[in-house]
Amino acid sequence: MINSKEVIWKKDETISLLLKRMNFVFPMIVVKINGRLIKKDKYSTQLINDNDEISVIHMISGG
Amino acid sequence: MNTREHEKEIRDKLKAVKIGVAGCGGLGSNAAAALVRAGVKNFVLVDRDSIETSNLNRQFFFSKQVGEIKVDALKSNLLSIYADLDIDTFHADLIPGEMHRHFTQCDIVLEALDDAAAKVAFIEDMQINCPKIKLIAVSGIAGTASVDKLEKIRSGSLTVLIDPEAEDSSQGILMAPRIIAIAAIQALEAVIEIISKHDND
Repeated sequence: MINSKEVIWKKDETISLLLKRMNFVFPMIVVKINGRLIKKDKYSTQLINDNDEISVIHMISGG
Repeated sequence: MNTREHEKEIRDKLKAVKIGVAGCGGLGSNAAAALVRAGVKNFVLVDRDSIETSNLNRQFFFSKQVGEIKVDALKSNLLSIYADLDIDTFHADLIPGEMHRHFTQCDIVLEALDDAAAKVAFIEDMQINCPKIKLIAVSGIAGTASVDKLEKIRSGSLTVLIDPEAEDSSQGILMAPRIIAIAAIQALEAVIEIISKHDND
């Protein structure tokens, strides 16, 4: 599940590859897996497990 | 429990918490004012800026305060609403890796920074170093759209209020009614968290 939408799980897929597959091109994002924040430097190594709950949150300037 | 007792219980919970505000601009200054009126007494305010004339169209400051340090002016304005507040202020830049340090004693923190990169860095810092502290962040306040489009993404201790169609603040117009409305929604999220958190204790 990504942002509460069902997405087909792929074996050996990292966060970087998943973001690419989902066409998430925004540079300013926060990624959480099962409620745990994943730091940017882990995107290319952190693998996705089947049934992981993933949030990809796009941050827009303004505050 | 009757209505009066229930109200007292809610007021007591609001009095007991400490809320951190990261960034005292359009979101932070207005959210803090709403929380003071709701009955929150303890705050940590962090901001690096001073007040500019261009801030007055949306931030909780007054023309005579132009040039003053934002955290000092906001503290003064909040104390003008109720005098019995406990407010710690830090006129400081939030440095990556150290951003959480001002907020370790807080129960809830409001992310109210301007720059998207700073927002991401702050959320990462808080969620890695203080994963138990409730963090309420906002993404997308510029423009003139209705707040109907605002979505809530919840994951662990993080809630993000997001308008995926909103413009970047460097391009979109900053319109007081929309920004104050979103600041109020952010403050309300904090109130809901405070009320619900200890209900089962």
